[in-house]
Amino acid sequence: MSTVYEQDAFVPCIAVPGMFSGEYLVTLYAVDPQNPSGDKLAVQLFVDEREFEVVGQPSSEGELKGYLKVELAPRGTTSDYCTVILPTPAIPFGDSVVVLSGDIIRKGHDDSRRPRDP
Amino acid sequence: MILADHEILDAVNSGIIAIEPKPQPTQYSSTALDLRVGDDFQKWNSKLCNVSGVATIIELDKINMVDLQGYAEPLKIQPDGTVHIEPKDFVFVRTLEHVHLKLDSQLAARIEGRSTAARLGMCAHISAPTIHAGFRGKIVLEILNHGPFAIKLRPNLSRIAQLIFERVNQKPDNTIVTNYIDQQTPLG
Repeated sequence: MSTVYEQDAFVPCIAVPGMFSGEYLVTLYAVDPQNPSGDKLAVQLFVDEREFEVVGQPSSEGELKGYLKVELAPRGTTSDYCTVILPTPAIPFGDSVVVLSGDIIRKGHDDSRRPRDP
Repeated sequence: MILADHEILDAVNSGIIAIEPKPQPTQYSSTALDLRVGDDFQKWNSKLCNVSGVATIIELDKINMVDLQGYAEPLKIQPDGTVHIEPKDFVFVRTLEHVHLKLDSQLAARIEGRSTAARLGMCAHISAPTIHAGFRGKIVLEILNHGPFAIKLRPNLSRIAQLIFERVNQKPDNTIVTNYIDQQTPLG
């Protein structure tokens, strides 16, 4: 079995504290595969704090902007779209969602773009 | 194929299975790895969820989790530092261990309860036992005490769940097929 894995990437998202300490409820916006040019889908999931990188200060409502660490699916990437594996499943979407390729930031590949406003 | 104890240990030591904190030797059984409860037990606030004259109905496909955030409350910690799971209690807590099954590890896992707790009527989790390749995080245990006794758990110590690792035949191309992403996606 190989241990090499260099597919970590980040997608912009917003977050609020989750149910547990050290947990965030993250919301990101994904492409609807059935209607790629339509409205984006709000995808919510609970993640451990180490999966979320905060950028800036919280809003007055406690909302944080930042980046969610995801994995890129080995297949499912085009110049426009990218399938990402979420760290934990999102209801009702499941373990992966499709996002715009332009939203993806690859760690170690394009760090110059970070941090920026999600 | 289920991994044996020495295979799990090898995978943990080599980083193929990433677990923090690193498991103690006593957590390994012949074909599983025991997991400990964390320390932030939560339960649904029954007073908020069962307001007289108010029907609280959740449409699962349109759930907005932010709206539910205020319905949970911490479970009372006893003076000796333990928590009591009373009969009929429904409680959730994350595992102490943070688990990462890397997508290309070709491993998936199942979370299961343990036999003694089961005999006492306590479920360690409800449904959705599969920890898919690519999962990264602490595992939430949904504990339900079906039995007649209150059960005392020690935060960060009690081992009420076990993780059974299975080898995936081939490296996943994508991830599990969901009702959301199918062959009609723009990504083919």
